[in-house]
Amino acid sequence: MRRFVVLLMMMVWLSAPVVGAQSQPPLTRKQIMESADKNRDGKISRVEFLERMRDAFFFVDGNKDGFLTIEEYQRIPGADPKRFARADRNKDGKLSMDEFLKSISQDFDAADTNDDGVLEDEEVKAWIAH
Amino acid sequence: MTRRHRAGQGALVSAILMTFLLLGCESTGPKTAVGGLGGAAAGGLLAAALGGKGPGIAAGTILGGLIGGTIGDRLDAADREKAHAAASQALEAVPSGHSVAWQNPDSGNTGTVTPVRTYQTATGQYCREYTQTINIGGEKHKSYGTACREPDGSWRIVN
Repeated sequence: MRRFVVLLMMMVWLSAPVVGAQSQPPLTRKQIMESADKNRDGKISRVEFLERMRDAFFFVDGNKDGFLTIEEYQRIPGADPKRFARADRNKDGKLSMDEFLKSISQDFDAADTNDDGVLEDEEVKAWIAH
Repeated sequence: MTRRHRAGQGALVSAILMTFLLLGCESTGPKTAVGGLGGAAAGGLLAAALGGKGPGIAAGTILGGLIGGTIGDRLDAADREKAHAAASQALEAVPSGHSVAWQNPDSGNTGTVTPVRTYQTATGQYCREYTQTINIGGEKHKSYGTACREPDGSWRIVN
């Protein structure tokens, strides 16, 4: 559960330098969560979540070779090398987008406590609160 | 019943109560993602997706027909240059759903380029679908396209 407290801290911490460079106030937690809610229905579907994560993969892949190395991945605060190794299913030392999405999809499942396939407001609150 | 038995039963009841309490606490929070990257990393990735690459990223050139047909004929060279720069910046550095705008004060024409989806082809090449709006003399034109990133950092319009 502590991971989700760290999650909130990382979200706010990470967003600060980006917007700081643009002289704008830091993104709020609400803005970050709403950004994934593409159809504005108040819920984050798996499709919406994974679409945002495809963007993340693209931006984190520094040399744009189509894979995430451990060095690229560890630029993300909160990155755990052991989890990277588990996500690397074919053990080639890097994550393909497919491996990445399969793994991050399990994080979505963890937050989806009622198993209805979307993250509702209460689940997002719980996700963030823990 | 001896004092020892009563003490043993008390400890057993306490253990059962603690188990229920702990299970109760666990059920209110997120589940454990055994094979996931972890909540902290997921948050970091989400923020990275939102932040894109930030401003000032040197983007590559645009290859192919970003603006074609009659719309292209109505834009001057400066319009096209600004539209290409905006597209390059949007595709390389901007999260899906966010726009990069361009304007040419001399012609009065303006436009935006907005990536809407990022994906990889079977060969691992990055492609991004985008929408483009161009305002010429008060007329708004909207189009959709896909651009794929070449190894040299340029973006080729594929449709």
